[in-house]
Amino acid sequence: MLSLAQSSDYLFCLEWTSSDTGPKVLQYRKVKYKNPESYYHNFLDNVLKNLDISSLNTSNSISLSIDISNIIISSFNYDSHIGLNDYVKWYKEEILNPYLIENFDYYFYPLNNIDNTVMVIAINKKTKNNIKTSCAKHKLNLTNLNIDLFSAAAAINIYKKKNIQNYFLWKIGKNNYHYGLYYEGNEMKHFIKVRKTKKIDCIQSIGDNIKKNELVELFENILFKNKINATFIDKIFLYQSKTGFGLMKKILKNKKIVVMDIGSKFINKKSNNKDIQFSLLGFNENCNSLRGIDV
Amino acid sequence: MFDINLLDTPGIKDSSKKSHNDEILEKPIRKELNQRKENLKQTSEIGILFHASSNNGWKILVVALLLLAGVIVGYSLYKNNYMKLDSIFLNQRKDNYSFEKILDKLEKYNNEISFNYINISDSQLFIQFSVIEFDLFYIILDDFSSILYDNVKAYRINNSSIIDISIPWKINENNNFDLNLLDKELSDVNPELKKELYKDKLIILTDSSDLLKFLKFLLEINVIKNFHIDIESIKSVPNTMELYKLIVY
Repeated sequence: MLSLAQSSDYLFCLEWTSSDTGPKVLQYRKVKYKNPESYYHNFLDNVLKNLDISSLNTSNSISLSIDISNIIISSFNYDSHIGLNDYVKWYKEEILNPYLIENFDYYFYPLNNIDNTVMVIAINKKTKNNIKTSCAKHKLNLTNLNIDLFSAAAAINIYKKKNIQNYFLWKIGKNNYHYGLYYEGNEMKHFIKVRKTKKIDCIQSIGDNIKKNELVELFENILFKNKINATFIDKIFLYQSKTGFGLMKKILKNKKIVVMDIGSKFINKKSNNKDIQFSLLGFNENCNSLRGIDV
Repeated sequence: MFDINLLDTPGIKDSSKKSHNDEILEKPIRKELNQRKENLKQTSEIGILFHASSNNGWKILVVALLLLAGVIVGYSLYKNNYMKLDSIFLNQRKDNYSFEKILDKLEKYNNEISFNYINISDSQLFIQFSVIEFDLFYIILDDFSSILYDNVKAYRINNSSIIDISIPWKINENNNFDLNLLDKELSDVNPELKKELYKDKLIILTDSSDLLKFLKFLLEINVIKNFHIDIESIKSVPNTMELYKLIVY
């Protein structure tokens, strides 16, 4: 199984196969990749040049996780008495313009929260078709197309103990951006994007407003005071795909924070040097390829 | 945890949650809502039909010219103060505030609502009631809005669905029909009505059905604008008939 995860200008490439002891990594690479202008047109041509394709014969499956900047993510709240189907129909007809409907595929994810929020994800049909065409060209069977931290969310189950009910997936992004997914009992309830300046600026929040305030406060406490007061969260699962681990090393001392390091776990790259150890954190976003696999 | 896979068919990715609309049992008023939806659909179809048949350029041109002529004539009349559009609009709306129509609708939904407060004063007629079942909230709001426009307001507070009606009102101070006469008339019409004349005020105790009958009676004998009236709900034992205290003065 070949798994690719795009994060900014890099593609994290991982090939693994199943074994008696779980997934076994055959090869892994971090490949420089600049895509957006070409909408992933023939994207595999360059990627496969960097891999030893002889071992790909064992499986023709491929999964891809794309950077969140390649999709549109938005939300709306609806009145449950109107009904979601009716509301989505109205939303498409009245809110989205014909250009968007014609050129984007829209996915609606109800968060089943107090405010009846629906997370809306849209992907350009051209991007999606180019990805599928490139996979078909190289006779690869695309099984999963996901988005960076949503793909990394699949890794949580590997680190999460059963008694953990409410938890938070935190991705440290570039340029002081931070992304988070908040879960209650395995159900995603909130997506948040913030930027750290002299304070925490909330760039986007999808979910209950009250939770938004709590999550912003959580970021403030950790990033400015290096402490966690939040009682509504049992664990924080942390990772990043950028280089530079200063912030991560500073905050992971907190007992509630667990670093997700799926790369080291499977590649068995152990080191006392944190910089070397954390260099594989970007592979967390390859975890959409592990869905349904007992790891 | 929902799975995101953008290879899936686009659309709603959680169909397990049944919409509340589907769960509501068929009720007579629900049928009315469906009928309205049907009417709306037919109206839309007529619109589409018109749109489809108006592809010919000359038809569009004629319609556009007529519209342009209408706008020019209207604007010139307005500019020369021959008519004030605002006053025409407001007068037309004021004429539509029929208290009889309001009472008819309150009677229609009598079993679905609970009155909180009614006040008839020299400046306004104010009615506040709660809708008992939320699924009728928008239907009732819509129905009252059809005759009262923006003089009806609705809001949800602590799971209560409340509708306010407020229309301009004027008490007719110069009238010969006083409280004593009203008391006598009421005794003739309904001898069992619990009432008492006390210090220039007529105090009546009634249920919601007799409350509306009382207001209709005042309307019929044309004295509804002769009195100030305060009506408020009396807190009674739960699951028993709701009672109201009326003070007429």
